[in-house]
Amino acid sequence: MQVLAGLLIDDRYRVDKKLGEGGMSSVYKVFDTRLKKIWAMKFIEVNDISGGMTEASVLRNLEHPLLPRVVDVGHFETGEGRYIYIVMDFIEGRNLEEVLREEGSISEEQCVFWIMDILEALKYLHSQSPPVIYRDMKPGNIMLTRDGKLKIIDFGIAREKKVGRVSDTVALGTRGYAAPEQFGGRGQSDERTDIYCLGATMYHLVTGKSPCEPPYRMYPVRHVKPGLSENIEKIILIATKSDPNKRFQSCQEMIDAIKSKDMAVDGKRILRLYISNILMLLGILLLISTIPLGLFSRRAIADEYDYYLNQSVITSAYSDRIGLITEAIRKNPSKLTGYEYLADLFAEDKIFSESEEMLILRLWEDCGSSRLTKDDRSILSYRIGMLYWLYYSYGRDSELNIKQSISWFQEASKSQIEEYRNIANIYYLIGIFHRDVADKTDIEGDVYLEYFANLEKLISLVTSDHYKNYEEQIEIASFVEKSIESYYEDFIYAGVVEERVANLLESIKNI
Amino acid sequence: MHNNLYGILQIISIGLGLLFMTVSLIIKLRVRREDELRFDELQDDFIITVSVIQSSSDNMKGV
Repeated sequence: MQVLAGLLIDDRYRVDKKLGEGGMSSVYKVFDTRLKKIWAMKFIEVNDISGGMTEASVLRNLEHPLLPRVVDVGHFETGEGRYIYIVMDFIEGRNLEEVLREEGSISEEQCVFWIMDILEALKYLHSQSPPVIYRDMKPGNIMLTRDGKLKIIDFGIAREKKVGRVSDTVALGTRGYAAPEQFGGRGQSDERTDIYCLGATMYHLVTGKSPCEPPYRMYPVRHVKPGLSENIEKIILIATKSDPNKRFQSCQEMIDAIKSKDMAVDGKRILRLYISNILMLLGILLLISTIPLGLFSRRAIADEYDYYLNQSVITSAYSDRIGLITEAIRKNPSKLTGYEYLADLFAEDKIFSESEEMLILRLWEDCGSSRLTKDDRSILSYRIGMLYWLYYSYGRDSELNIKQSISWFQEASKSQIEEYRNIANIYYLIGIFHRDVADKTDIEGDVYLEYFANLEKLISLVTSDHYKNYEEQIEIASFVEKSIESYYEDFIYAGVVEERVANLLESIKNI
Repeated sequence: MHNNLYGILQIISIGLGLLFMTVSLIIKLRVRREDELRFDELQDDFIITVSVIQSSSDNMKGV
């Protein structure tokens, strides 16, 4: 079709910009120079003027809020063709295809609200004598005005139903929305054709999927969008049946079906989904609630732990103190403090008795060895080693004490903490000397040199500023003094100069 | 005492939470299964294959 913009038609309508174009027609915005008003003007290119007046004759006699008002009809010729023009209301707004493209699918409630309006308009068309069949219902032909009203536009292929005709002579419609009978040879299009087109339009509106785009299929809508009701699914399925006899037979029937109780929303399904969602929400909330509960629980454990340890300090009875500290350890076996309280208590009377030994070994086996961190475990090993070294069977057999402590110092010597690792290693080496060497006679001098060096290191470490336990210092000084006394000749024979021995003894006296 | 209470509540919360989520999933799966069954029943009747119609629409005049 030629460009018509700029033409002045009938000395009255100045053609402005093109609004849209179809296969046989174009719609332009025109300015009415007589009434000073803007109209929409549809130009239909025809060979025969009288044969092309279908749309004009259809629309001229119609009056409905959803149908555009025809204000003038005429025809003209240019050098390039003959045209019929129809002057109609200029409707400002967007068509539903644009709405779908910009906003996505329409809510079910909104769709039903609009469809009921459109059904009323179609019912009006079908009630004409003879009935007017619109035949081209699709989102692109429904305008949404700025005030939220609908207008059905483009009556280019609307026809009056011919009584006695068995099929449409020409296939007209829009692929995807057109009913099977519109393709010719399958019966004459009638009211049920518009029902089909409207069903396809509903499908597009609620799913956002155009039936004229791949995969060129209309599935039950809940397959595409599970949140839709069974009601709307049934309405669309019935409206889009291939066989017109299986569709709603009239607009009124479709209106009744939408309103009827039989087609009402599948309450049971929705209720089940509602319950399912509520349960899922509750489940998530309950699982989330375990986080603060866990924090409260840890806080409560910490409070109880501190309570038992504090009580053990202010309680005088020894057995009660043991019970309180043990209870604290059992509350939180992964915390070192309780074990340290216990070691301190055992060291108080300078006797690490067999019952105390059994208790701490049981706690170590039950939880200490598995629940403490590696560093805490090595610290506890060091503390147990010291209990054996200094206080186990005190006064009976100091060699036995040392031998019992070896394995604990060996464990402690693996500590990541340098302070513990160094001193535990020295205790371990001294312990090894007493276990393997002390009683033998044919010992090489280097062994005594190494032993003396370890004694020097031990005194150096226990006299350093950060070694706070004075009672332990005294016990260790006493041990080193006895060792020098026992092995003095061996040290000198091995090559230890007397000055070193004298210096070590001097250090011991300064403690 | 409190420690025990919080521990018990924590276990109950985890148990109920998992139970509710499981029941919810079962309901959802059953609804979905029913939808699929219904879809299968309706499929033959309702799927409109536009491509089939297309083959007879070469002479179709759009607007």
